[in-house]
Amino acid sequence: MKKTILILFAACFLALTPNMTKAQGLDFDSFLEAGIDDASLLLESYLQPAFEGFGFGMNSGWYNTAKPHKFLGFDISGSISLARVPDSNQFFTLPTGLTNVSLTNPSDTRRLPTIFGPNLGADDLPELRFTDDNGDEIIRISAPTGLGIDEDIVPFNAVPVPMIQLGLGIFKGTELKLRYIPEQDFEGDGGVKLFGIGVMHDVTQYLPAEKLLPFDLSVFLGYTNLESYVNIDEAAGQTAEFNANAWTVQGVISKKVLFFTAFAGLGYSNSNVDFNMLGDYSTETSTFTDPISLNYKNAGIRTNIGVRIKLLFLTITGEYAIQEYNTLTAGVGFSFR
Amino acid sequence: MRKIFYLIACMPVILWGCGDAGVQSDVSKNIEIDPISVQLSVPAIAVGVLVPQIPPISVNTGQINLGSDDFDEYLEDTERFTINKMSYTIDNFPAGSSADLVIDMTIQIQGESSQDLLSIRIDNVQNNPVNVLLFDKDAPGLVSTAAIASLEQALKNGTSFQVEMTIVGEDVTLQSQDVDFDFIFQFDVTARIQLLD
Repeated sequence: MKKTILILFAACFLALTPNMTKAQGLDFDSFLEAGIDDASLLLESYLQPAFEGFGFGMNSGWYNTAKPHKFLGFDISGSISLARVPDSNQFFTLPTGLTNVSLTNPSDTRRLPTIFGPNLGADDLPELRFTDDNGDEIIRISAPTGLGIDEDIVPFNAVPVPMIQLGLGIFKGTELKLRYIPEQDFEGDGGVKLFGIGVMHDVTQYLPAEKLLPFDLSVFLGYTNLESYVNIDEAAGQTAEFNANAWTVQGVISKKVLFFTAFAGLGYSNSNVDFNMLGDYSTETSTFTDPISLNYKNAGIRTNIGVRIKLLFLTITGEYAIQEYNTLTAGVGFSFR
Repeated sequence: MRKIFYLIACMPVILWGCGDAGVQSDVSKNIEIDPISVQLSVPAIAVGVLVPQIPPISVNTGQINLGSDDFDEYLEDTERFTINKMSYTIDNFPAGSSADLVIDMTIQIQGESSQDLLSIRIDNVQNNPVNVLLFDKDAPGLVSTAAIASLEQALKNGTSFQVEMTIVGEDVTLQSQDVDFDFIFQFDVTARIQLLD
């Protein structure tokens, strides 16, 4: 069990990068020694931007025009959305309600980085003190550092959400959109499946003088579900499970000029993300079953603007959504009719 | 293709994270060494009598390997060890007896010669002092910093060491010919873990 230095990134799937978890100084045994409630509180705060950002990102990239495909017209597109983590979510203060975890130096006023905070050295991180129920110290560990994504790849901290989807024109100005990855099993390491469905419906057809309107106007409703898991220790039955649901309803307007299409949307989005650690986890004194269960819900107004360039069948799209995690999306695809 | 799906599922941020800098963390433990049994003795005729000084006795901790025993899971990624503090506790010194102790401590790292660590005087050992600071990295005092550095290197190398003590009792009054008590060392140690991608 001593080697069970997992988690923390279980959400990001530690199984891929076990060293990362060790590097975070986050010994899951120690977290559990501090008690399930404390472990959950700490992880909930630390991982918050990853899961929230993922939820916001899932609601992006659905459309690049308000004009649905003609009957049997279709498009296939791939996109990557970068849900920018707000500055306020790059750090957190130690949650209240912790019983067995505290700052080693109570007067340390530094905040702790979240997973999407900066990558700090040990000297710049507050130190956490883990105690048992008797108040005896078990271990002291640097607070987990952030990944510091903005230092290497992109100029800001963002949660990337890649997506692939199909759009199909059906009837009466209606387009069906489908996101689908059949259940995949990765040779015992983990698995994933994705399903999303969206409907765009042209509303200009109900307006007077629709042919004279200089723009396209539609309503859009989309729902995405991702289910995935990673086997932390398959033999021991330890699994990290990550499930996300997101839906959005939008009014979409667009205007095409030559091969440019400018579009904008206004509506409401909602996401619900669950992260669970399942199985039995033993410390020196106790065994915990299914110790971690985290849930993140977010909802709010979503506004976006974007532009699509269409060169014959090739489409290139850029979109920016204004919401709690402002989201930049870039996509490429092929569109017919 | 399966790998692509996997990456989609796994939030590729993890592949971006940290970059060349890697990540760094400190893991610290306050480690209590197994008690050392110490026996002070006086001739039968001196029981209950104040003895100015008794002959020196030698004890040691036995082989200690903090690196391997307490930081095993971090050892291969540890950049360095730091000994933050050393302290001691006296336990089970019997009531009614009393003594002061003068202790010379040396460390002997396996395969190396002994090095002086420090000399201390413990007055009124019968009070069973608890967690008395011997060494603080921020204020090393009379402790040999060279010996501390050697200890830290031994931890990094996973090499065992022992602390040897020569104890002289002064102003000793024992209520029996032999008095046993425990001397307990505590080491507060930090492992600086550094991982690169």
